[in-house]
Amino acid sequence: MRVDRRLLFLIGVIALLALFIDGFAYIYRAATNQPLTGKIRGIPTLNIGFLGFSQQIYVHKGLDLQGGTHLELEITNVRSGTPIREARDIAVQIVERRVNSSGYAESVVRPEGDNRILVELPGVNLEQAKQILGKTSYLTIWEWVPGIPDAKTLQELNPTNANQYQGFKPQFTNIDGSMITSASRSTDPNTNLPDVQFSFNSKGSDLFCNLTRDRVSHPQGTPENKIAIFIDKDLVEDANVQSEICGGTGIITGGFTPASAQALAVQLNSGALPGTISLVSSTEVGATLGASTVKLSLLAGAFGLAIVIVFMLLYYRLPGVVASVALLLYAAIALAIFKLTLAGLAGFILSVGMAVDANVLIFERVKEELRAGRTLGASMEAGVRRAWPAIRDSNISTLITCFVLYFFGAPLIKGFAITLAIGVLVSMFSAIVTTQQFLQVLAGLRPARRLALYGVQAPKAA
Amino acid sequence: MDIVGRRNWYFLLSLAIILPGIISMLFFGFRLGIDFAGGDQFNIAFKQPTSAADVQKEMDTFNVEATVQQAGPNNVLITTKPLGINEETAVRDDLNKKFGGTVASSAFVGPTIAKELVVGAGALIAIASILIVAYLSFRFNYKFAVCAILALLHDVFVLTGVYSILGKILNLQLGEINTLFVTAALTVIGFSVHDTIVIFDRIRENLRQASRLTFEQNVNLSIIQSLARSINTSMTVVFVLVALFLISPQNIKGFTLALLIGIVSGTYSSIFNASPLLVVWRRLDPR
Repeated sequence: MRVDRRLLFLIGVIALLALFIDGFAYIYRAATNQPLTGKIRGIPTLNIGFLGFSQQIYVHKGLDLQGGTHLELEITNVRSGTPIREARDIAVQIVERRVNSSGYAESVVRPEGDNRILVELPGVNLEQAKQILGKTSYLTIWEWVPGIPDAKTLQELNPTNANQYQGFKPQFTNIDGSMITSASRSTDPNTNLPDVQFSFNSKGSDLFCNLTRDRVSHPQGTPENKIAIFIDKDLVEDANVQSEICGGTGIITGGFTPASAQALAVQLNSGALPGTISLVSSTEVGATLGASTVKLSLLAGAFGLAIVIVFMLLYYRLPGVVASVALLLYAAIALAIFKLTLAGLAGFILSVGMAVDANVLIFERVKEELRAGRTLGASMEAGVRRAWPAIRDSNISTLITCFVLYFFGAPLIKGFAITLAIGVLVSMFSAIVTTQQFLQVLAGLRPARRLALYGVQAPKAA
Repeated sequence: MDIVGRRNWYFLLSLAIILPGIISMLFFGFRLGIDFAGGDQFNIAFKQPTSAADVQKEMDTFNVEATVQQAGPNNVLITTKPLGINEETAVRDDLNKKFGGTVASSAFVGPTIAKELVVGAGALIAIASILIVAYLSFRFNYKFAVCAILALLHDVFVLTGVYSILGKILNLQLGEINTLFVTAALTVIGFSVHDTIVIFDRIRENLRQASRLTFEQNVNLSIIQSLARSINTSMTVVFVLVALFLISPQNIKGFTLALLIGIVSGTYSSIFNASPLLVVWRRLDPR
């Protein structure tokens, strides 16, 4: 193996790129007067969709280090007829809309499993988070038909409301809040009372048009002339239909105060939640605690790295220098692509260990070859070659563990797994490509040929 | 140095560490964090030094099964049963009014999710082990694979056993089993196998070269040849972890300690258990 100038060049480019990314964000933020945490405006986000990996290109801090709230929500009591995954996706959209309309644009809302939603709100405490997520309302429109309410209806609706007309039962018209595109508070021009206006999408508009046309054919004032609007289980409006309504808008009047009309409009805007959302877990980290954790973690990381470098310099001499440079390069690359969280940090530390290990394996082999009396160049080549099966097999088994963790683990474990996997891959690159190339460069330099520099005594018989 | 020859002593030492742990696990179980038990946990920061006992007295008035621990001169950690929104707000407001304390961090885990985690953690370890056996059987042979997994189980039992003792018998917060602990345990599995494979690789290489050494001598030679590497690599990781343990905040001390124990155990088991086990097997079944 000779020195490959193209590979050396590639290593240099990657190093510069990593350093640039590490330092860039801070300079850019300072220059553009942006806050030091959160997403940076005007910087592309790197997306690797199938891995769920989305990351802005800068040193990225997780919630546990930057402060904020992480919530896991679950959708239960899903309305019959709605597949659970569909319900989950609708709920994700609703939660997202809620969160975004509250001005927390750096947040993350994504589905997890069949019926869970993960929400990450940087810089928000739990109380605020709960307020934001608060209550979303499910609006449904029903018509009255002859019959007696069955058990299912009585579960979905308040029984008092459902039974209010002798001999009639409510029947779902398939119009629900998901068809509402907007809602706002307004005032009835005739009575001067607050009401809520809403508009339908085209599907809702058609259904509503047909419904009102059908209802208006029944005698005024009879139950069959009415449409019933339910919010969650409660009847909020039971109105006589005086003419067909085909313009795609509707009005709910019903004894609102201005405040309650406003509240309903907001809830309708949040759309139709096809079930109940409940909180199953939450983690909240105050900004101060987060900041002190960052300091401690970085300190620990730097301290640990320093110890490792000192150790390698003492034990392996010149190759130790090489390994240290490779390791620093590795740290720079890792920092550039990792999301910095506590679990991520653990993955990073472990992969530092593995990056060192690959180097140690190579150097031990090189030493052996040198002791056996081979030339420097030949020893280095043989060292890398003979260390390779061990590096390959041990790292592949680690990658297998990462794979299992990533696909079956809880979110926190996922983060750790992806960090460790990237760490293992980058460290293999660092050891096999970077270290090897540097060693080859060394082997070509005359002053670097003294065996003492490698911690080996010259063999007695050459 | 004859490591393989003294293997029974090393097996005995492993048993001496594992058995008390297993007994503790069987009779006392684990000190479960709220990740697994379900519940609410608050880390409260006060403006002035506040004793856990005072806060405990206050919390007892709420009747929420609260335990309060000192987490620093100005910090306490409160663990309760799962609280509703109203209860939780009441507690927070009360502590703020009485002691001037604000929430530095909090965690809530509902009962359903806690159950899933317990099942999940065990399954993860099992799946990962099976896949690793498959890979090692392909690269080496099934005897190597099984010995690697035995060493892995050794490390898992050392770690869980020590944590059972720490958490239940010594009653330390440090010995709490939570998601971070599971992460640490999984990391240890990765590391343990990694370490074992490096030695196995040496055995494989030495076996290929025709030599007059017996299998037993060959294994011993391979262990000695990779000893420098085994110890050097573990030492570097141990250095980093000790640094992390000493200065890490309370909430991740248990995590770093678990990594530390696991990695020391992993190094021990790959040198003194995994490879000598190959020799034991070879004697029982000399094919």
